[in-house]
Amino acid sequence: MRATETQATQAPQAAAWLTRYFLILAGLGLFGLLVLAPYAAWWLHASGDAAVERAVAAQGSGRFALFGSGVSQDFVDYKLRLYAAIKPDIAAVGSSRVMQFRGAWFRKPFCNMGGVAGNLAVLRSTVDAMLRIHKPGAVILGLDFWWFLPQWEAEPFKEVPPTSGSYNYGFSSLKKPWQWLLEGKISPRELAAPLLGLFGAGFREDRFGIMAQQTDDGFGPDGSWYATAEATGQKLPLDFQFRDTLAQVAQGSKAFYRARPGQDGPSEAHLDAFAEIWCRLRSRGVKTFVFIAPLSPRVLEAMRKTPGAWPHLFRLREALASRGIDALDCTDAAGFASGDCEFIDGFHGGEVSYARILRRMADRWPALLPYVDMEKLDAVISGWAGHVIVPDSRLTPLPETDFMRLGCPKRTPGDVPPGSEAGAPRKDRP
Amino acid sequence: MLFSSYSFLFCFLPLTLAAWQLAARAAAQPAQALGWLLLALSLVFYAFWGPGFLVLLLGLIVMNHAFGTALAAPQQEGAGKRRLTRKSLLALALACNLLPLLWFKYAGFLTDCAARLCGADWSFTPAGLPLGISFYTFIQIAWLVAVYRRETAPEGLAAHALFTSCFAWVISGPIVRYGQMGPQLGALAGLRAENLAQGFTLFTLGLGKKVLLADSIGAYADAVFNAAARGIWPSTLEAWLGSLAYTFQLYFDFSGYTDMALGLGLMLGLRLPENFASPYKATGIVDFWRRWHITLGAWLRDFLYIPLGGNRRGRPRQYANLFLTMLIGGAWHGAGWTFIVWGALHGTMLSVNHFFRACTRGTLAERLLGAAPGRLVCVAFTFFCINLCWVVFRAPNLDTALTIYTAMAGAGPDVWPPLMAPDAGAGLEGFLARLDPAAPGSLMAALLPNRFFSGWLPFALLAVCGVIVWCCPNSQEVVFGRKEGAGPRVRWRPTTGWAAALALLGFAALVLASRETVFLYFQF
Repeated sequence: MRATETQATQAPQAAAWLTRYFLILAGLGLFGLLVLAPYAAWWLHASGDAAVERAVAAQGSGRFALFGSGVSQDFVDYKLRLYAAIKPDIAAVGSSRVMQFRGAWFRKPFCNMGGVAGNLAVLRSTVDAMLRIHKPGAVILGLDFWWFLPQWEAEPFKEVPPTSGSYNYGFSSLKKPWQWLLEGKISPRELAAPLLGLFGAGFREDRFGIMAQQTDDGFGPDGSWYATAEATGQKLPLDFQFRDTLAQVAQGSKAFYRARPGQDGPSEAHLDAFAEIWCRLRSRGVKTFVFIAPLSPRVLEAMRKTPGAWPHLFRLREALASRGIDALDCTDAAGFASGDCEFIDGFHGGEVSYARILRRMADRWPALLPYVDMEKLDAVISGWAGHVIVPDSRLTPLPETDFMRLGCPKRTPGDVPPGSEAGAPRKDRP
Repeated sequence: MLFSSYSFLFCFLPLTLAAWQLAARAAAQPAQALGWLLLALSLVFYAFWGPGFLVLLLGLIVMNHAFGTALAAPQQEGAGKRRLTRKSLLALALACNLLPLLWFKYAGFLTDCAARLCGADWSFTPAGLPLGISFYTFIQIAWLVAVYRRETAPEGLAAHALFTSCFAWVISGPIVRYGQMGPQLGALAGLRAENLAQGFTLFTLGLGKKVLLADSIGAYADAVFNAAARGIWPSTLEAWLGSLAYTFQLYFDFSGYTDMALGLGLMLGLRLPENFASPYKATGIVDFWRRWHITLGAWLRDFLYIPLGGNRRGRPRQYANLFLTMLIGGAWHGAGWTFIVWGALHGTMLSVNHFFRACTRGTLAERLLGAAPGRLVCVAFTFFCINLCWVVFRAPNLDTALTIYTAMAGAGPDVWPPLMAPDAGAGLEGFLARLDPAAPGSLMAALLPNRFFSGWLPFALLAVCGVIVWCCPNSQEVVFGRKEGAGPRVRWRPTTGWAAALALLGFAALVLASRETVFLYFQF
């Protein structure tokens, strides 16, 4: 009897409590919609994370501005907008492995479209999208050897949308600032930056996106990528001492898939697909220069131990030549005097490494000479050998560090150039 | 669908509660109707993980029900062979349950081990790991043994399917027994305000623990362990902070999941068994295993330790049994040497703890350790041991674990920082400059050189975790009171203050709930 009475008194209390709980929750939800969400929208706008149009306008006007968004890493849409703004005479197209060509090395307007092509089908659709916007005089095409493996991409002639990675700012974007605060990715001061901006202490005007604001990581006005955070030691390298890449090589995983038994070279269908893209460009009068992107010497050395596993790399140049495509094979970085110290990771060369590649391309193909500023290239190569980035006061005052701890000698701006030993790690350190 | 996903929170849960109330009011026989409804909802919930997984689960349910029915057949008097047949049948049933678990979870690992032994280039990757297979396999094994022992009798196939696949425990436990849940599932009733209030309280506390604490602190643990796996040496302080971060991450992840599961059950009128009772307050490893994953500990005790002989055959055999049980318990958590080493470490610690208890029983040492200061020392030492063991549990491989252990021991390269920063200046400014992690050469920069822990947030999170773990009652105590009947100082009441606090916690968790994380125990 007593239990029943207790239940009878508890039930209304519990019901009333539930009502209060959900009413307060609904009130907080309303507060979120009316206060937190609008502030987040303001924050994203002020930080430049949701400001792809403003970033392109600033970069297109010739200002040195960086675009490094934390909301989205899909940037095809951004690159095409930048391309439309620059209307370049020469462009570099490919995966992230062409993102280190700088506009400063060219005599004519240049746009780096690196990062827009992850395979041949996307490369075709992006090239088509570019040509619809504007026809450049010349294009540099960077090839990844894994594009020529059916395991990477089964249908190289497949039609794909040109901007599959457009920026989409949805409801989830509005949670990002609060999420980043809780994760410690941004500080309370950074969260309050739009308010501080009212007093002149907010975000930097020439940086768009939280990555660019925090560490000067992002795309420059020419579309090339600045890996400032890693190079200056603000962020730990993802591929420390190339271990991740070497593990991929050892396991035959990710981009380092091994050829199947019977595959003794690049796939014929994939070669045809690339030849068709190449012909599209040439037939429209676009001078096309093709290179095979480099690997760090350590990684290449590991791959050379089992060359039969990667015939689609080691026979790529001659396979392209058999289709009449003259490609510069830059797989071996030592071949153009580059070394591990000039690599961001196992298969991404740094700025100096790419200056060397461009120099070599210009030496080989006179048709490229009118576009290239050889003096600037030579200054970069001779002054900053062994480095990943070339110091630029507009970018960061921080010097490059031996971020991979390979024993690479690095110098600060103003130091005496280190000389010929800079390209290779010192032997006396682990 | 995770319990902390928007699809569950804003769609599945409200629809479940609404359908529950409608069915309870409309049905002539509410218990039966609600049973069918719960089964349907559970199958839908499980199907979200993959229809193939659901087919496997259903197949195992049907198979086990058939085995259970055969095991429950009346025994003919004087038929000695019949008993043998029942035993064989049970052995066959257990083998049929363990085979899928072995195949999906351990085949790749065993192939890899065999390949290393033979120097061959074999590799095998099973087609995905069915979610919750470790849990529902153990649940069904317990049921089969209970049927065999005639402690329970099989009911219909639907009842067995509901007991096995109920969405509150199918993915990640607790490992329920039929004796606990069967009667409750047979007497399902409509929603009750008291149950809903307490259920939402538990669920909100669990959601907050998972989203605000476990996921946040886990980012720091990931930074240290992932870097170590890439060959980057953490400093001594970073290694300790990383291990502590994981120790708290696992605690709040598991505790949060358990609270949510118990809360969900309570909303539907089901009282799930306790699975988590302030384990870091344990005064020894024996005590720890009575507080951490209680239902798994009980399962291992009842179906491994006791059948192996338990403590009935002398102390050396008892310690060997403990070691073996924990070794298998470690392997249950995952197919890898790290889990086996973790199990071995716990088996060793349990044996040592039992040995120590036996040696000190009735002595002054026992009385001293039983006093408040002694208990404090025991709690601290137990936590220290558990924290060390979690390192190998979290590490992706033994090399990484060794890296972290070496750094924790202060034996890694460049782990000892200079005691004082050079040229930092005197006075308060100099002191603050030494503590500024962003200032090159400062003491903090030397102690935390890899920037895994920057700013005050990781330290604040660790402090909050520590306070909740050691200074607060656990969620069960907050909602239901302590076992001995005493009410903790922080006790849930149907007051506006509690409604506001929980709503605020729930709101913060809901805002941040969509981060891409999983419950750690899903992978075990």
